[in-house]
Amino acid sequence: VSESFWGPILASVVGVRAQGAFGSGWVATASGLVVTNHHVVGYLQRVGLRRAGMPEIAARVIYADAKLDLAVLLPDTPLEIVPVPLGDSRSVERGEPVVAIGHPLGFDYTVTRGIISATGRLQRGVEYLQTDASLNPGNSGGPLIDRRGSAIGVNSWIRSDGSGLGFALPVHVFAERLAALDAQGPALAQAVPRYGCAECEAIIDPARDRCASCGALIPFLHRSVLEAPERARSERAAAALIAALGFSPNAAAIGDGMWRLRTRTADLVFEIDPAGKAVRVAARLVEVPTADVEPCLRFLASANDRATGPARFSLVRSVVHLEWRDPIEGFDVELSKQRLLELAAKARVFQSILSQKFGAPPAPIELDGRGAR
Amino acid sequence: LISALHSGSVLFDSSIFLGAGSPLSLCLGIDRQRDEVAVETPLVEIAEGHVAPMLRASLELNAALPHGVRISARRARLVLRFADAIAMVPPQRLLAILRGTALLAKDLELVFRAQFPCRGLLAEVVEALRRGGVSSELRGEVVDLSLPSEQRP
Repeated sequence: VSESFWGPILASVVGVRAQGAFGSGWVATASGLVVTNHHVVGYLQRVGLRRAGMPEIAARVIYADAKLDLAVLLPDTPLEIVPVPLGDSRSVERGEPVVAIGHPLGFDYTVTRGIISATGRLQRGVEYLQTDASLNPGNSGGPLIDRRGSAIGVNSWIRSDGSGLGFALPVHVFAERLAALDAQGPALAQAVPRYGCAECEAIIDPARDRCASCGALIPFLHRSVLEAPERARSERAAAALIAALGFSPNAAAIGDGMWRLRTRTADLVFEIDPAGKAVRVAARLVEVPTADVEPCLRFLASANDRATGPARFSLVRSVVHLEWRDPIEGFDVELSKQRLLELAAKARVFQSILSQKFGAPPAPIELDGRGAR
Repeated sequence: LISALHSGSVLFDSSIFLGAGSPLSLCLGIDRQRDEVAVETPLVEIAEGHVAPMLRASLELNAALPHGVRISARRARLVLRFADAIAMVPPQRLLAILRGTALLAKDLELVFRAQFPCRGLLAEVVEALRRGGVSSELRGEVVDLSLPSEQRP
């Protein structure tokens, strides 16, 4: 199939950067609404959209539906992209060829092919298309495309205990809701976001803790709404610190509230803490050795006892970090920069000690936002 | 006071202020030679046969602790510790650190005791300090614990 067939489709696919997660999405209406999975954006109000060779733009989550695992985003700046045409997912038949497009594990614009393995699979009362096209973390929210170049589904989940068992939400399940949002036109930019209940078909009231229709709990919604202003402050502080080091915060972003820099001396991760009140800065040093681990742990824990200053050794998924938490209250970019440079220099020294003295292997390189912790 | 501290578990041999309340002790040390303000409290004794798991748990917990506080190992004990340059710790911040460390210490001691067959040290240290004639409640009054004015940044 020629580039002229794939070109416009690929151009309609975006990366969706949300809090601690990175997924895919695609432009689904002429007005520029972007479709992705709810589990990519959660109950955040704002996320980032990425396209090849373009600066990241912000988008507002205008609809999030936990039951369908669907979210609709309105970009702050019109994308001016031809949408992927919506296909007829009702008439799809077993054995039809399909392709999945997305950004699995950070490999952007990956196209994988397969067939429709089955239709009408039910999961918690929701219908899905089953496909054997290869899907991996990061594909979430990307389109499943039929042979006519139309989107017939949103790649949503896989069975981890199987192989080639991927599932996409068919377009016909959400087309009406999408059209209703689209029909609001420019008013949508000012509209209050709508949230679908995780258990039933109802639209929930964000001011309540439970769905008025079925009584299901509404997790995290209030928290994310309330924390937004503090998070925004923390994000600005982290971005200022990254810029002061001579890096682009946009280029360094690996997830919502998460950045990664590789300097000559250190592999640094910046992360907004869950309460949004501090920026955690960590240099990733080495992996803890698997054999004879106690002397290495003793060394690190004792070094924590001798050190003066906010930097400390910690362990995250078996990777040794030299880190500190910069509180947003009283944040001083120059002071933080100075401490960060000291931390980076110290990180290099300790990396070498830990490898030479304890045989600690280098920290693994991970590609997705979540893995960088 | 120094004798009492040494008979307990602690920690400094220069300027010391102490708050002790049941079941918690906090030691504040200001060491001008090292240019260091430190707030410490012992947590638990590292259990024999559980050294690696306890050290690992302490390092994993560090990733979630607030600014500047860390669990560290000192001989056979885990200590909750904050230490920074004197100029970096103005009085209001010091008070916040004392309060935060006090709250954290109780929680962390419980966490370790729930996970490992280890001995908690908070109550024991308070008792040792009382036996040594030191018994004062930490009331959170900034006046007694603040730095001299010339040390303020």
